[in-house]
This record gives sequence, C-alpha cells and structure tokens, in this order.
Amino acid sequence: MAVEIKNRLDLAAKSSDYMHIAGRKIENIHEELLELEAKGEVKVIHIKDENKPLYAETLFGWKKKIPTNKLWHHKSCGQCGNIPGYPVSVLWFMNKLGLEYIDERNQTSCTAWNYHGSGTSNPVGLAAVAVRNWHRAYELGLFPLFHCATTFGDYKEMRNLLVENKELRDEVKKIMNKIGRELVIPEEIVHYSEWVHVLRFEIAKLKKYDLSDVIVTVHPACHCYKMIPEDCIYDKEIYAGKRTAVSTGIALALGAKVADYSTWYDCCGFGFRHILTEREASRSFVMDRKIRPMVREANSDVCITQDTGCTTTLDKNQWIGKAMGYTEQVPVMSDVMFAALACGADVFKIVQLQWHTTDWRPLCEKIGIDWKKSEEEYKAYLEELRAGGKTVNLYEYPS
Amino acid sequence: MPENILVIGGGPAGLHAANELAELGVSVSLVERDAFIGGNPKKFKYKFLFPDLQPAENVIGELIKKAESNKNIRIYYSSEVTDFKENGKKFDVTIKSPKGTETKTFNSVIVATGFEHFDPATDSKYSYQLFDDVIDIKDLEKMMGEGNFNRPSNGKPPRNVAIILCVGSRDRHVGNQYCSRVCCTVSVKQAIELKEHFPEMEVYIFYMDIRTYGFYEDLYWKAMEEHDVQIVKGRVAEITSGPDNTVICKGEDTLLRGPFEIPFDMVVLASGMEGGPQSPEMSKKLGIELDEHGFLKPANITLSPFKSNKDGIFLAGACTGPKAIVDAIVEGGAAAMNAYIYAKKNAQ
Amino acid sequence: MEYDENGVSIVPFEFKKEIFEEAKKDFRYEEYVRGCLNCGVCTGGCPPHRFFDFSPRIVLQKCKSNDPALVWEMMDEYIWACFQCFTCAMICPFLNSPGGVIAILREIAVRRGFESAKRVLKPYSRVLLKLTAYGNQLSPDMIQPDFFPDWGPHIGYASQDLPLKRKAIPMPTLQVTNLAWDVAPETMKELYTIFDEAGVFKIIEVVDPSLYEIIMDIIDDVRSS
Repeated sequence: MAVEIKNRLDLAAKSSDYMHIAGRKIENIHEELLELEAKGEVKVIHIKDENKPLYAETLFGWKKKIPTNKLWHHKSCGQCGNIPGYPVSVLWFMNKLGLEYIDERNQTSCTAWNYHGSGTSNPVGLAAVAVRNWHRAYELGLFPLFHCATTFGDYKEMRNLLVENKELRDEVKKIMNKIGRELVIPEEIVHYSEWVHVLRFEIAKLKKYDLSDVIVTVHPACHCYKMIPEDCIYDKEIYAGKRTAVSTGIALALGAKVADYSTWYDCCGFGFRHILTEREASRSFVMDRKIRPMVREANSDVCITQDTGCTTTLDKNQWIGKAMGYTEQVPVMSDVMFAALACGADVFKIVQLQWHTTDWRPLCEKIGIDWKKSEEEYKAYLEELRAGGKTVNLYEYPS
Repeated sequence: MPENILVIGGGPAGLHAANELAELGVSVSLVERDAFIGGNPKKFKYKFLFPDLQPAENVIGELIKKAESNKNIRIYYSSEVTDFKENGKKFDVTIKSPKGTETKTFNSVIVATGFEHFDPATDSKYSYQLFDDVIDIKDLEKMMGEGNFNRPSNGKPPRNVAIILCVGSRDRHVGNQYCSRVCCTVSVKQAIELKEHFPEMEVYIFYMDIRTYGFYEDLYWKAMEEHDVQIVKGRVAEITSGPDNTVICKGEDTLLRGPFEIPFDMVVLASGMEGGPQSPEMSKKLGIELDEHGFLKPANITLSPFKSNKDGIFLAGACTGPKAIVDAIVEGGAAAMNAYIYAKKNAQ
Repeated sequence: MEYDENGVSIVPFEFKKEIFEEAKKDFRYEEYVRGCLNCGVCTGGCPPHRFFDFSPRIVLQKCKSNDPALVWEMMDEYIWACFQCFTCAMICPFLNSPGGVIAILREIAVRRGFESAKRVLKPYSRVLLKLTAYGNQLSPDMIQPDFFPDWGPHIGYASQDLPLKRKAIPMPTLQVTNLAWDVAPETMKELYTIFDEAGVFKIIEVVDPSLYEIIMDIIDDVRSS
C-alpha cells in the first residue's frame, strides 16, 4: 500500500520539458473573432489592463489571458441552489484580495444543463441566452466570470458557433434587437477555476493551516476540459503538462498532497438527465468509478472538484452506497472551498459545509479546524437573524 | 574532371546514393548534421531490421563502411548548408562545418534529409513523460540495442507489455492524418524480440488496423503462432495509473471484450514518422516544394518520386514520406542515377 | 399509427428517412460526423458505455451508414443514455463528435414530441418549469427529502428553516428559497423573449402540454407585473 500511494503521489507535481503542438487542424477562434470585430460584425468584450490579467498556457501552448479584476459574476444554478458555499468562497477571496466585482439579479441561467439533459432548446436559444448575459457584463464595463463548468463549456461552444456561422449571428442579432441588446462576445471565456489557478500563489499566501498531511484527489469536470479542450489550462509543472492543471494547481500551491487514481478521466455520473431521471446510474457511477478508486487507491481525505454538477453528484450519492456494501466515503468540495478552508474561512458562514451530505468533519479535524466552535457560532448567528438581525454580507448591491 | 554532386543527409538513402555515385567516379560531398553518419538507425541504435530480423549493423554498418572508405566521398560531419544558389544548370552551395565554411559548385543535388520520430510528449493523451514506464518505439529499440529489456521505473523485468499502434499517425489531433507505414511491422518485430527475451511475458498489441503490407505479414503470424502475442483491435483511449506501480490502458476491444482496463508494467507507443523541422528548412533553402503532410513533395509521386519540382535537385528516402529502410535504399539508388544523368547532360 | 402483432408501432421507411434528413440538415451535422474506422477510442473512454447499451462508435457508424433505419433505431432509448460529457468528442482521432450528434437527435425527438422523449422527460418537468419560467434550473426548495430519499437523512437539513439558512448566506442574491438566486423580473422577461423567438416554448408545448400551461400562467403574471 505504502509504495503504491507514493507512486500515485509523485505524479501531480511531475514536471516536463514537453513542447505543446497545435497540430490539430483547428481554426484559431480568437483570431477569427478579432477579424469579425474589425469588420464591424461583432463587438468584443476585451480584457483590459484594469482587469489585471494574468497569462496561462493552454493545451496547444496558446496563451490565455485570465482577467482577475473588475469581474461580473455569472453564477451557477446548482451552486447557488445547492452548494451556496461555492460562490460565497469565490467572493470571500475576491474581498480578501481587494478585487472589484458585481454580483446582481440581472443574470439568467445559461440553460445548458437543461439542454444537455433534455434537448429542449437549440443553438439559437442557447447562443441568445449566452449573448444576453455577456452583454449585461459588457454594459457594466466588466468582464464576465463563469462559475459553472457547463456554462463554461456551453459558452465556449456558443462562442465558436457564433464566430463560424453568420446565419446564427444574424438570428441572435435579431433577438438581441428585440430585448435592446447587441451581439457582443468576450475575448476569452473564463471559468472561475482558471481565476483561482492564476492567483493560486497569491491565495496560498493567505494560508492558515498546514495541509501537508492531507491527501487530495481531484475530479476534473468534463465540461471544463473535454468541451473545446484547446481553451483549457495546462502547465508543465503539473502532471507533466499532460492533464488539465486547474484545481490540482491550487491544491499543490496550498501544500496539500495530490494523489492520482485510475479513473481520473471518468466523468462524475451526473449525466445531466440521469441525476434526476435515472438516479441508479448516477449512483453506481459515483461509487464504482470515482469514490471507491479515490479511497482505495489514493487513501483520499477529500475530493476536490471544479464544477457544480460534479460536486453535487459525488457528494450526495455516497450515503446510499452503504446499502450496497460500499463503505468508502470521502468529503467533496470545490477547489475554491477547499482553499477557503485552508485560508481560515468560517466552515459554516463562508464555506457552508453544513449543506454537504458526506461527512466533512474528519477532514476539518485533520486540518486542525475547530468546526464545533464554528457550528455554535453559526447557530447563534441564525438565532440573531431569526430575531430580526441583519445578515453580515460579503457584498451589498450597488445603491 | 569528375562531376560534383552534393548529397544532403547521411542516412540509409543518402549513404547509398553517395556510395553508388562514388562508384561511378563522381566526386561526392556528403553533408551530415550529426557528428556521425548512419541516420536514425544509428542514432537510435536500431538492433534488428524487419522482415528477416537481421542485425541492423549488417545494413547500416555496411553503408557507413563503404562511404567512409571511398576516396570519392568527402563527408562533412556536424555540418549544414547555409547558402544555396542556382548557377545556370548548376548550384553554388555554401557548407558550414566545424572546420570552417566553404562554397562549392555542384552539378546536381540529392536531398535525403529523412524523418523524425513523432514525439509522443506533444500529445497529452499518451501521458509520455508522466509515467516512467510509458516509452516509445525508438526508446525501446534503443534499450534493446543496449541489451536492456527492463522497466525504466524500477529496473525490473516487465511482466506484461502493451504496444499501442498509430501513435502520432492517423490522428488529426496532432495534424498527422497519414499512416507511417512501418510502425506496425516494427512493433510486431519488437513484440517478438520481447517474447524471445522473456518467454513468460505477456505482450499485447492494440491496433486500429495492422498494416504489415506484403511479406511483412509473415511477422504477425509468427508473433501470434510462435509467441502467443495478443493482438487486440481497439485503439487505447486513456492511460492512467494502476495498482502496484502499473499503468492502465483503457479502451474498447471492438471485436471481443468490449470495454477493457488492463494494468501493464510497460507501455510502448508506436510513434510514427514526421517530416521534422528539416523538411521545411530544405524547402525554404533550396526552393523546393513541401507537401501538406510536412514532407518534401516529389514532382510526380508515381512517375518520378525521386525528383523534386526543381530540375537538378533529387529526393531520396523518408524526406518524401514514411518508408522502410529498404525503400529508402532503393530510392537512394534511383536518385543517384537521376542526379548522375542530370550532371552528365549539363556538365558544361 | 400501425402496429405489428407484438404491439410495436410500424414506422414507414419514408418517415425514418425524413428524420435522418432532418438530422443531416442541421448546420452542425457535417462538423460532428466526419469519417470513422471503428478504432473504438470514443467508446473506450465513454462513461455510460460501462453501464448502458450505448456506444458512441455505434452512433457514428449508424450515421455514416446512410441507412435511415439504423439511425431510427437510436431515436428512442438509445440517444437518452448518453451523459453528454463529450469525452468522445475530445478523444476521437478523426475529430468526430458523437455527443454532438446525440444532441441533434435529441432535439429532433423533443421537437417532434416522440412518446419516448415525453416519457424520458417526465421526471424532468420541475427543472423545465424553473428554467423556463424563472431563468434558473434549480432552487433550494427543490431539494426535499421526499424527492431525494436516496441522498440520505441529511438532505432534510435543507428543508428545515430554509428561509433563515438562506438569509444567513452572505450574498444578497442568494437570500431566496424559490430560486437559486434572485432573478429580476425584467431579466426574466428578456429570457421569455429569447425563448419565444428561439422556439423553446413551442418545444415545451409539444413534449409536455400541461406543464406548458403552468409556465404560460407564470409568465403572464411576471409580464404583467
């Protein structure tokens, strides 16, 4: 066992002198987008100096500009509905780092979960929703930051379809006219995990706890790195540049151990439709293909995710596994929540682990976090609010 | 006065061309970028050649010996062509070597700059450089050439080995849509060599199609019938870490097993052939055409595969596309004859 | 509809052809369906392949066959097994996207209101309602123990004192229970226009007429507010 774990621990931090190649004959959408802008066909939301961009290398070695400031939060339905500590942790770090953003009511869902689950939309509908939300960020002079991996994947796809198809652009423009908006496309489609990744060393400076005994397994989100893979971050210092670097990067920067497991590439079992309508498939997938390998092969203390659906699916489906003799359990949370814990964010008020199903208390204890104290404070806080007290917000609507 | 002919590249094709011309009394200048001649077979220490598993030294050693001992051949080691100008029907060429720079006039030119092995590090899906026990065809050839059959990770003999075909070939992700022609045969040959060395070892070959054309077919019958090599139809989809320091190959056996996940002690990637950086470099310097696959383009691929689009410049070997050593040698001879005819006709 | 002796509907070849032609007409089809030599990479990496009779290689092969009858065979259960993870699209050496074709075929199945599509989407109606009526896909009050008994006893945590717990979340947008975040009515109205124009409401009307009525009532309320 010891030898095996050691081998699996070596992989994430392995570096290489590899060269990326852009051999795949694909169009460089970014260049085509700028050409369309020059022709006056579309407007582009540019990443400006005030967005304080940092650069990261993508699969083909292209440089991706990641804005870190003046951001517009494009929230995720599943996170806000079900894992509230997810967006709260993002805002908590933005406050800590003194960055500007807006979080407001004027945003719709990307509608892509529904599309991939039920097929009840189409490219025109999906693209129009995307442009509607992009335009809202544009009119505020901010750059949109997408919290959900399915939004990220879908918006990358919609960006590509819009750049490549004039008919689609024309249809979307027609709809935008009706709602008083214009066809705008962001220079880059940016996922919050990329924001975390480029700021990982800044974030690590805020670290309060030693994580050197914590074994992390990472579950990468399919809609992050499998949809439009050329727009995803890879790093020579992480998995030798062979696997997407986000989430693993922050875990390593925080000083945790990242262990590999045999089903790293597998999805979580969410299936978009299956999580609601064919649950036994999701359940089996979670236990057989993810949780069991993570625990048995890697001795994992925590599973780190980078997406909404994965976090929910992997967390919620462990309990029922016991009925089938699956005794393996591992707490599940996103990279940014794990980072917030490590940096001293309150377990209940900020990271909001109380909503999670799989027991996360042993992890807190291993790190040295006094979750009981946090729970008592949270209970008292709830009583204050019940008595008419005011929420201590991380953010207030602009007046 | 003898004709002057320039041969660029000292691999099998270039060496054979130089040797043939020297026999005819031509004064040959052989420009080689490496400090040695013999090309990739020498560089990567190929051990045995298919189809008859004769020692590579029999072939490469013979070509090198001939070239080095023939007074009509001047070999420029660690050298390159730095300037190339047409001069009527002739060519003024500047050669830069460690000994200095000289410019000579040649009657004709043979380009035999060969190929590069596809570097699997450039395709993330193979996890090459991530797992020590994932190696490629040239690594294994070199290891076996040095008598080493053990796992890079721990120096112990592998209990089982997977050989994955079509790495960097027939794959639009890396821009190589073509078949590299020789990897199937080389891989089957390597499987036999592994089995001869460790009869107890299990060897799997994962293929999309086995392309051991012509008499090379004999090899896989031998691999299956005499050595029990498992030949499975299905390209490997994922390579991940397995139990006991193994590497898991995951894919679909499209004919028998359906989905499979097999842990291996060693994985060999049958990397294909590429035109390398030297092909566009030659294209630019000599003003000859490059094809869409990154190799040099013959004037007429069927009628005159050894001629470039420019009169007086001839092509031989793998610089025009993936091929076996035997074909490279045949082309070296053909290019030599054509370069000689051109030189004779336009000598004055 | 005609039925055979086993009660299975007999679908005329012409109809199957019409469906296949509809798929091929989609502007994404040519990009998703290129060449395929059965290498098996897509299926080797396909997550649902391990649990279902589903193979992206077969999806591609059936499309390439040009046989409408083979494509038709996938239109009921088969297309709904896909997880839409796009592993196949990422790893296919020939740049096909079986997952993309599945999306096209699913769109056709719902647009045409196939019985199989209606059946598959029935348990999905709550998401469809939240999404089309409010611009969110999930809300805190949907996480109820009776809907998710298999998620364990802790799931009840969310249903007790939910408004108070949501109020304690330090983001004003999240301090609601019936939506994931508080969507402004003006924003919802924009979404309705998009759905109208893109034909999304029309699709809902076909696959679930009663749900459509409920959605329309809510929309009327929001629009007149």
